[in-house]
Amino acid sequence: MDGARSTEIDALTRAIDLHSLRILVAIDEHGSISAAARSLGYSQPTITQHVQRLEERLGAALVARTARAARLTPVGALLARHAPRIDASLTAAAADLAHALGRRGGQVRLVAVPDQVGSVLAPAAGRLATLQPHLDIVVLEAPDAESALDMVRGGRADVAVAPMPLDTRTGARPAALRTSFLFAEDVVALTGSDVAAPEGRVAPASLAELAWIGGPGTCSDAVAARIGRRAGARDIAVGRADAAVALAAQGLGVAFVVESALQGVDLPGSVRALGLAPALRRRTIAAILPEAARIDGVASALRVLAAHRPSPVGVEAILDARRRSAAHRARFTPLGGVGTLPNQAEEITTMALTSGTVARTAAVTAAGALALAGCTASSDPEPTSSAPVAVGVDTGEEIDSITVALPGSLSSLYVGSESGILNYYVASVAQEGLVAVDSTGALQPALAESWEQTDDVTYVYELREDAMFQDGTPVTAEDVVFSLDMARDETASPGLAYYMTNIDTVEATGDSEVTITLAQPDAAFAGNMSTAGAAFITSKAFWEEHGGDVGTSESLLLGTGPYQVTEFVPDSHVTFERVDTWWGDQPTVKEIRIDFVSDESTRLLAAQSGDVDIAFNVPFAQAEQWESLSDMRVEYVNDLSYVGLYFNTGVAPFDDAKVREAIAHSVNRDAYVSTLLKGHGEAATAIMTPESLGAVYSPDEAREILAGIPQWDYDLEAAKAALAASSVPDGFEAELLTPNTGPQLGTAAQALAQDLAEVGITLNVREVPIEEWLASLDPSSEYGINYMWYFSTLADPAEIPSYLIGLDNPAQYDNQEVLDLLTEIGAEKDKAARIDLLVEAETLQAEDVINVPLWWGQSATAFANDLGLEDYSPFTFVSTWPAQLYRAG
Amino acid sequence: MLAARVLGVLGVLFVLSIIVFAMMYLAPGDIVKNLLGNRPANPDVVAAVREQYRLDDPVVVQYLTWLKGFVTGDFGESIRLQVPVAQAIGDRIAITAALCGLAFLVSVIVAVPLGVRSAVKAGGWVDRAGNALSILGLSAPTFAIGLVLLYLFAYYVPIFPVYGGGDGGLDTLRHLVLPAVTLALGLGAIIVKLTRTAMLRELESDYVTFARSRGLGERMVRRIALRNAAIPIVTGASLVLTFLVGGTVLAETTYALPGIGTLLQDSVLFKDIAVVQSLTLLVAVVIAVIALLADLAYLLLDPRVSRTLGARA
Repeated sequence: MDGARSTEIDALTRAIDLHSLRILVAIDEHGSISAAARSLGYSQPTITQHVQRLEERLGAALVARTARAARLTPVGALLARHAPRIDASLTAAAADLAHALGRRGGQVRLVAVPDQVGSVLAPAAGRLATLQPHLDIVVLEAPDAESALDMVRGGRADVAVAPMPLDTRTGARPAALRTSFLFAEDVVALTGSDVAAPEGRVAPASLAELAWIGGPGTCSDAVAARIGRRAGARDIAVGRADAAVALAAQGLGVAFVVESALQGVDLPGSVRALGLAPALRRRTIAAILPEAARIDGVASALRVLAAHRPSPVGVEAILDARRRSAAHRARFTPLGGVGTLPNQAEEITTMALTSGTVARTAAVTAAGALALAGCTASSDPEPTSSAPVAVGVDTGEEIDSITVALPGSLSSLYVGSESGILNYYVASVAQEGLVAVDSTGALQPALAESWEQTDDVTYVYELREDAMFQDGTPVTAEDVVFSLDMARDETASPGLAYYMTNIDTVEATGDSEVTITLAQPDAAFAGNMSTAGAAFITSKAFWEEHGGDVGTSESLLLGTGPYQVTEFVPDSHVTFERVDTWWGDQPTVKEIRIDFVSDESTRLLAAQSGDVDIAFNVPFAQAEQWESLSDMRVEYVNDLSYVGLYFNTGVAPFDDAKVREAIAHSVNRDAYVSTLLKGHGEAATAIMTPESLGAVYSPDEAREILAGIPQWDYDLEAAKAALAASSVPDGFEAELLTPNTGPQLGTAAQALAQDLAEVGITLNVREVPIEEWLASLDPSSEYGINYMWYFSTLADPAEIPSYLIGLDNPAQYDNQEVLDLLTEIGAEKDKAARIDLLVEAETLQAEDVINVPLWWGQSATAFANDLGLEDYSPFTFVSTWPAQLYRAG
Repeated sequence: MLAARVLGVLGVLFVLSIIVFAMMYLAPGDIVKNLLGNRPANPDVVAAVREQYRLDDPVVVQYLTWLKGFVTGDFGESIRLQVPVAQAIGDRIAITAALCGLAFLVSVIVAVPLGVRSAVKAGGWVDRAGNALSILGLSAPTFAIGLVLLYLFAYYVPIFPVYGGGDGGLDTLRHLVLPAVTLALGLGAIIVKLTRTAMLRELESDYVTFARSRGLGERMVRRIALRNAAIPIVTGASLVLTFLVGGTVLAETTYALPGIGTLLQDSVLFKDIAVVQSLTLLVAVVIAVIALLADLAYLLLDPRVSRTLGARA
């Protein structure tokens, strides 16, 4: 039966052709066959013939004809809906082809709402025309945001520029489109000059009694809805922003408009433009079809649009706030030189544009092989190794046993008790989650055969029928519920409870069905149910038998994975044996022995003697010796780690932004990466790692987006200037702790200390046991400058930012705007939209110089040459990685 | 006499437990952070963990709670390993005891004859070689000796394994040879020096000259001298044995042995107070027992001591 169905689909696929689809779209748009024919430049009979042929082949009516009009039947409409995306894919292919054939050209159609055509589209189109003279640029106008987005969805425009509704906290992101954040502008109130406004800001509620000027084009209605104001008798409704401004200027009422509406308007002295308290900002986005992202013209249009900054207007409070950040931005020098341009607005545009491109090139050249390693994470199965050693093909041979050498001991096998990155690697051998993370970071079925998100907060998991624990007992929904409940318990699983705080209930809703309800929507939740997150499913009977002390040398560990723990001796070793209870294909390795060798020289010697098959986390200082081993190879992969400095704003003198700026300017991250890390890392431009954007963007796109976040460049003169302008112009002394487990952090700190000495700041670097460093991360510690070293396992883009700048962050950074954004990010379902918001939050924190990103780390793993590993990626070791091992011939 | 001694030891242990507890309490680091790792900590989680391990109690109460458990035989639970302290120590004591015993045995068997010979033929080639070796053993750090031995006997001449504790029995013995030799080098160096000095002094004393003049054979003379030199040698050796405890930390790290040394090191860093307390007290008891054994050995070695004791009694 399946076969029959697939032939049918096949036949239908063959019946559809792009040309007919375009005709259907035209008929839909124009409402008659003759009009459609005119718009396409065909004769009417040709079109009729085409439609009839298609209807015949599909065996269904597509167009319903009446005497004067034609419209699509439901089936026709269904087909027509797919047309724009297919069209965009095809155009992307054609553009690629044209590029390859050396022909240039193409068209890009930009659409915006009326008040943004002049302020946004016009300058962008001009800029685009100079940059890409061969490009045919069409500018369109749409009556409102929704119809602009519809035009893109319908294939009538390529890029839509549209403001987001002000109440995005609840509003959904445009469906089926890829959006990029362009800029945000403040909503201002135009009031009489007698209104009390401390610091140039006014609370809208205090104006509620006055007459309001509302209507489309103003933000008054949204503001009214927000404060719950009911329409007053004297309210005026107008259709256009300039009308509202003019009325307000005559003192006829209060108008709420976005800043750009005031552009070029001279307000009389009797009227004031005030910021709102709390500030309300309207965001403008650009939207395209996902398939169109690869079209050259569309991509350049997006870049030019992203460089647009609304011009400032005379609102004191907002200007004040912005002056700070604008001054920052001006000194966020791009990575390459920029020619001087006469027009200042123009200059900013160019700078931002160049900074993106140059940053990308710089990253590619500076990072060399690493950038490549990053790219391969999603596309190429075999990642770059710095000493490329050919790994033989899979011989299919069984492997009796392998020995893995870890650089330190584990205290417990249960990740809930001890949750270092090595614990994840080891637990993943024996335990599974409901889902698993594949090499691209996407979720795949594991214990749950399928899962479904039925609403914002409800996830339903359907368990595998054939899932068994290693002791042969079947996995029941009850076991899963129990395991997750234990993971939520702070005392049973202190290391996991954090991930689970948002869970409201976990229930068995069937023999093999588990339903999880969250307290609040959380887009990152699904990943938590993997062994990269917090789901380590074990048996209830086993847990109770050992009174909850699982993962110790006595109780060992029970899971559903392909290997069973047979022995665990802390500080010595843990051994695993293959079992036949696993639902997946039987792995080739029969026995795994993981040895804990805390002395690095001893571990190297063991490898030299041929005692080791895999060595995790080879230190970079020893990388050369490991690489020179004749029967081992070292592979580097981005390990989703972030290294950066942060300032505790509660500690003097780091509460002074100028001091932070001076230090940020003294950070030479490119040098740290190229010399100290020997290139095994990547200079970080943001807190989020590029891999964490992988669900939406390609590695290149991700790097480009992250490079767009303002950077503090290495410039000791600027650092001196900043220090001179600070509260401690004569310099000061500070201490920086570096964890002993990361010697590369120590050397980078020494390099920084040298540069800072030149600036006039004495930085004392002290290496301490990792435990002492961990304690110093507490916001209440007395260290004003500190290292952040974070390993993400989930690669959710919000994971690290929400720790570093979210609620209760270690820096005591309290920026309401950032907190609001993070709340919004938690609830946002659209992945691209979340990233937009995160970029916005990171931009704010970069302007305030709270975190100074240094590098995104890589880890080096040594493999015996006769051992192959499929799909090596940053996520490999947090899923059942031994199943991916094979004997290479 | 013995009772006074035991009381003295108990007093020392009590004071020691207070000092160690206070030092652990004041040492930098936060046990909650150690448990949670570097990740955002939810205040509820922190509160729950602090509650579970009674971290919010005043330090005196925490100490008294521990003391109460300790004297009633409950050594507490290791926070780091999540097993009872007695078990954590019990699992590892065998390998450390074997390592120390083997190291001590090797050093005594080699060092005492070497010291005697050096003293007898002072200035001879054995003396000079022994001297050089003991300077090397005294000055080279344990981990460096460990690495050199590893390179020599596990890599270039692969007769011993590189790391690990082996699977028990003879295999474990084979795994312990290199670590024991590493430790014995430092230990033996001191014993050689002590033996040589003590022997030299005895050989120069009047009774030796007298014995020789009476025509006693050289072997006989040496036996008498050695017996007289034994007391300083035993005292020295017992003191040196207590130094072993520090040495095992390094040797166990280099050879990746799951022993007391690594346990102590990790527990100190983790602020796992219960384990550190029990371990330091255990070491203190061992030292006290060694000292007692050394004193008892004097009774055997020197009849004069037992005679004075007997006279007093």
